[in-house]
Amino acid sequence: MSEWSALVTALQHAGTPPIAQEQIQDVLAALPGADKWIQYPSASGRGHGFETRFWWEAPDPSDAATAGADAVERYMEAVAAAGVAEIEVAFVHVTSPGERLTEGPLGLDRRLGAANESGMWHVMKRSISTAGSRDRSFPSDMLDELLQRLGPDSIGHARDGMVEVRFWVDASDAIDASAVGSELLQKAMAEVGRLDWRIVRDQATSVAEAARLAYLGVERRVLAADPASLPVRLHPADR
Amino acid sequence: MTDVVEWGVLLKCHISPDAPGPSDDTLGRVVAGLGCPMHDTRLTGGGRDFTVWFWWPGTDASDAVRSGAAALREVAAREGLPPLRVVRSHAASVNGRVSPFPGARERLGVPGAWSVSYRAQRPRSAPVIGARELDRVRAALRSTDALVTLHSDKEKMLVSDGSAFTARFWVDAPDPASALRVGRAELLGALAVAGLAGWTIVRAQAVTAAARHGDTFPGAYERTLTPDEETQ
Repeated sequence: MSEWSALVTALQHAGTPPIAQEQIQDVLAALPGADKWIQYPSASGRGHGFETRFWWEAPDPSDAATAGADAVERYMEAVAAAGVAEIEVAFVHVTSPGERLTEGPLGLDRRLGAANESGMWHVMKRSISTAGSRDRSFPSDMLDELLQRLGPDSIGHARDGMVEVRFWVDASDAIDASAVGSELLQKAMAEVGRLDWRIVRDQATSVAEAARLAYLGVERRVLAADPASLPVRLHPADR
Repeated sequence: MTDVVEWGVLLKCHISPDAPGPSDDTLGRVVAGLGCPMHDTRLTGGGRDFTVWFWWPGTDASDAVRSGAAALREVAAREGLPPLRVVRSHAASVNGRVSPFPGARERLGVPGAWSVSYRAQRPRSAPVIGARELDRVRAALRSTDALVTLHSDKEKMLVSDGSAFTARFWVDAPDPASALRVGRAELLGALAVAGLAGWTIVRAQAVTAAARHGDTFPGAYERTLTPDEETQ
């Protein structure tokens, strides 16, 4: 495992003039690898700055912390090459491709280039077994059945009393996607024999929004890996 | 019957390019019109998008999103905004909205204070671990408010099968690269003490105290925190 994904948020010092869009693009161009993304101003609420996501091969890929230190150095080199001054890195987050999949949708890359609008809203639902529920277990064959019902590119993880799934639906906006996803999940849960579960975390995003929040290029990196080594379970068709 | 409880709801809305974008004042009136005292708004996308954070009751997270969005649309229409297209929604429980990083508020303005977070994964040949091993790791870390959990960050998938854990603690360092290295050395030392040498770090994060504090959903700290099933 030599390739890593990084999210870096840089903040401008107080009172400095806004950075030109051209310079921001120069930062992106100076970073290594493909599947890069930069957002300015930052959408994360971490102040006046910009967020950058990129993949690169760390020269010493012993672990994510070592790779993370390397990522910051690469990043600062790109910032300097673009002539951007008066910024500081406030946030750096580095993961292996498999770990990144736990927060990013599978199938995003294909949908970004798709012409039709079918299945273009991504939803995440976490459900817990409600108090008094008799059967809290969620074995892996049950999770497989659930993913099968949620459709291609669905992923999930379960433990006793909790299941979290990510999948795609047809919808008109995020609120509609949330409702469609809840209905689909509740039907699928009933079909696998799990009633009396409650949705405690709910997210819905458009494809474009998912691209801003997630990490381009996760898909082909993850599918090149051994599915058994991933921290999530894939839809049977994706293994 | 399912209890109605409060959920932290985030909605990102897009406004058609044909309509005028809202001002901060208008957005302020919109969220105030929701009747929720602890909230936040932010204009993004050159004024074509805005994000609203607020608390809303519901029988579950999905119900809170649905009814919260309906209320937002109603107030927005009253304030003269064009129809809103919601491009992102997110709802979580009170505990799910509190930053998993203790000590961020106390370190605001402290130079060189970095919160670091690492996810460590066991080698396939090693046995799964439980609370006893986590206690050993935590005890071996120097930070007094270190947090070591079998589950991942709040926004990430829970993994509690004993094959991975997340350690969060504070280090003093001049920059993020140094913070990651300092934290790594400390964690590797703690792993060795706990008998977990050979575990791999698959996720690493370094964040300033200010940015970490800013991650918290507005109003989450002010709400009564009691353990719930989501976070246990």
